[in-house]
Amino acid sequence: MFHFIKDIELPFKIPLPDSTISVAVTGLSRSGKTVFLTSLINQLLANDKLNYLHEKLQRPFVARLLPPDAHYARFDYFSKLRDFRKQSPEWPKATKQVSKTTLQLEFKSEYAFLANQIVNLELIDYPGEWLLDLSMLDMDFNSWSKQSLSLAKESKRAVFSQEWLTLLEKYDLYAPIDEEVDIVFFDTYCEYLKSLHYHHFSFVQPGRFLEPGDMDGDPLLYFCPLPLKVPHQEVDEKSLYARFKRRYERYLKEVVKRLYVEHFKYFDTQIVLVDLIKTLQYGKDSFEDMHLSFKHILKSFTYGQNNFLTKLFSLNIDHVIFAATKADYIPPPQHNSYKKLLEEMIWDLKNRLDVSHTDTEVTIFSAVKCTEYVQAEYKGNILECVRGVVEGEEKPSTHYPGVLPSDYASEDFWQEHRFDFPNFRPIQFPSSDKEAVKHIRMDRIIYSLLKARV
Amino acid sequence: MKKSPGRIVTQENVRGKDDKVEVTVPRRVEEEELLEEIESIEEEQITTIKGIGNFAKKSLIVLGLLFSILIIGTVYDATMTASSMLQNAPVIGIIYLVLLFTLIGILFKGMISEFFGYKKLKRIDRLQELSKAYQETPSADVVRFAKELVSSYTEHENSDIAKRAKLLISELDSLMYDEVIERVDEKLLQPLDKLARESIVKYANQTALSTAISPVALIDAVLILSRSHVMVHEIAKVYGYRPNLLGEIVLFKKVFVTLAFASVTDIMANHSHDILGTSIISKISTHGAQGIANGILVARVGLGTMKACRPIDYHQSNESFLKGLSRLIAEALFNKKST
Repeated sequence: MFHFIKDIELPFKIPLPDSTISVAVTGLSRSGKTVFLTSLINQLLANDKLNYLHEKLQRPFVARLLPPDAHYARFDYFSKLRDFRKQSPEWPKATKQVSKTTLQLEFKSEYAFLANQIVNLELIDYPGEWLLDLSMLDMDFNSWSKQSLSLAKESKRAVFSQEWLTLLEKYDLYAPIDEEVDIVFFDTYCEYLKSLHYHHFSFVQPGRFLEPGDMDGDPLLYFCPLPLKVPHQEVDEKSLYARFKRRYERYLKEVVKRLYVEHFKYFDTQIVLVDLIKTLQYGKDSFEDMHLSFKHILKSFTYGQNNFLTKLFSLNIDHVIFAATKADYIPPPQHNSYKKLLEEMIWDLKNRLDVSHTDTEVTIFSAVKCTEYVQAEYKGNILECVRGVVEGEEKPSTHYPGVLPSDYASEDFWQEHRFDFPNFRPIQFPSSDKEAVKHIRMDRIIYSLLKARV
Repeated sequence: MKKSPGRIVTQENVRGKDDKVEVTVPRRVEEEELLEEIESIEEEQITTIKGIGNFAKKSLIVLGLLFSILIIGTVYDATMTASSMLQNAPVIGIIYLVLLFTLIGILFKGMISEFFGYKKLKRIDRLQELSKAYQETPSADVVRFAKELVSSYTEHENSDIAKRAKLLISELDSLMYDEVIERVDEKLLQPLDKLARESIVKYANQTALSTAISPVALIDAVLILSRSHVMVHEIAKVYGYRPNLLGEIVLFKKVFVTLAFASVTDIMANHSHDILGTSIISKISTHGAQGIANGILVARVGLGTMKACRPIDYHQSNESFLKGLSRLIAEALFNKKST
């Protein structure tokens, strides 16, 4: 009835305030943050494979990357795109520093007299290892040491921590000792962390020890957890304990807190990328360890609804999307089971967020679809498989990953089920800017990110 | 003063006894006054609907008994006639029997068809229950359920709906279980709702206009019933259900039960306050307001039909629809009157 209002034109357009969505792309190392960001930008710039988004929004839009901010390193989308467009594309190398970019979306106004709506998507990329350090902010040296030592003594980690634990027993940690010993402790502890990382454990603190970034060789990092001193025991100022404690406190203040304040404090939307394929490949220990990591990571953010005051002083994350990556490794008929596994992992985290008035979603996706779903006949049985090019090979091959259970209640699941997921090479990105890379459910994730503001 | 369901009481009843009544027709009606009038007519309508429901129930029982007696009598009479004819004139008797069995066959076929029509309507109840269950606890069965449901619309007489259904079937496998019902609702049932609402607007308008100009209450009642009947049939067809006689009775029963259970408070929450805020309506005459109330009654019958025929439970608010509808009717009336 009042449709004519939409066509009313004025000599000037009434401007609308720009809105900004600060997205915390949260994920452990190698969980696919960089690939996610590259695909997200690629999808929005090309805008040709976002059917769900268009259907829901019913408003045409254009996207553009804003010029880089002088204060921060720029997320170099174009060089990543160039790498993906090579004849034999490769996955991006591990991220070594924090970089940022802003993608601006301009939506056509529904009314001729209103200016177009501008939504800025603020995106950040960083080494996933550093994320775990944020939860150290709540702990002093003693409590962090206590937690780390108790984890190191657990049976699944003990095999890797033995050397470091033996070293701790060798020295008097509270008596004066030469500073040259510090690096021995640091190196041994680093070796322990690297072994954990190599054996697919996720909860590894401090993350800087694995990915030091610009702090490589910095003596500030020369510390490690130490056993608690006996009450009333004298601690010499020149002891290992005193030095490590001082460095730990400085590390938190000068590195972790700075990282948090500069990059992780002001978010309103969070997407938690979970590499479930890794847990399926490496079993229950990996699954539980990843759960522990996310439990600690989520402690570092503030959640809840935003109001006028929170927007003035800081932001709360009011929308969290838990997303299992690499859905293209799983044949589509098993996608529901894959999602259920994710729900199994994060159920307690999700419940906690739900009670803190935070909207949560659980989904699965693949930022770059590097396999095709095929059915293969094997000994008279039809198997659900995926077909893609495995890293190091040239031709595509068909792989049967195994069957995910529809219910994870069984205690024997991790013993019974063995999965095989080769590392697939990414598909080549289309050479035209008008065409985006193939994906699985990226359009739904983008809609989830935007829906509150558009 | 008329007492038919479609009529609003005259202004003397609305005002206090001591008020001076100024009768000018047509005259400007204040918003508060209009609200009171509509409120009282709503109450009357609800009471009438409940009355009709009870009366229809009792009538059906009595008719059923009478029909049973008639059937028993006819069967007995036919048997006796056939027996006597076979004894006296076997050839005519055989012809009589052939004709009799043909008639029974036709009647039986009709009954079977009525029974299946009834079963089809009952199927909607089952679908609504299942869809609700799948929404609460999504499982692998939801895809099969949705495919079965959507495939019944692939031959829909509206080509756009048929096309949507075909596209949706191909999409269902790629969805997560908890997205399936929502997607079917969004891609298929919401466009059907739109079509159903168009029917409702059409018949509510027709009713409002014709009852606003009709001088006799009985004509109003006939108009409301006939328009409602055609509309119910049309909406049922939109949702892919072609009611036969028995099905129509059951459908009407469901619609009236829905209406009878809607309390005056619900109705007030739905649209009376919208009318209060509608300045156009407050400017037209009480006669027009009577038309609006009748139009809204038909619209409510239409919404009840939607609820009864929709295979996935209807959870959207009708508030904005009724608000828009009352405006549309008022505008139509206002234009008609001024021309």
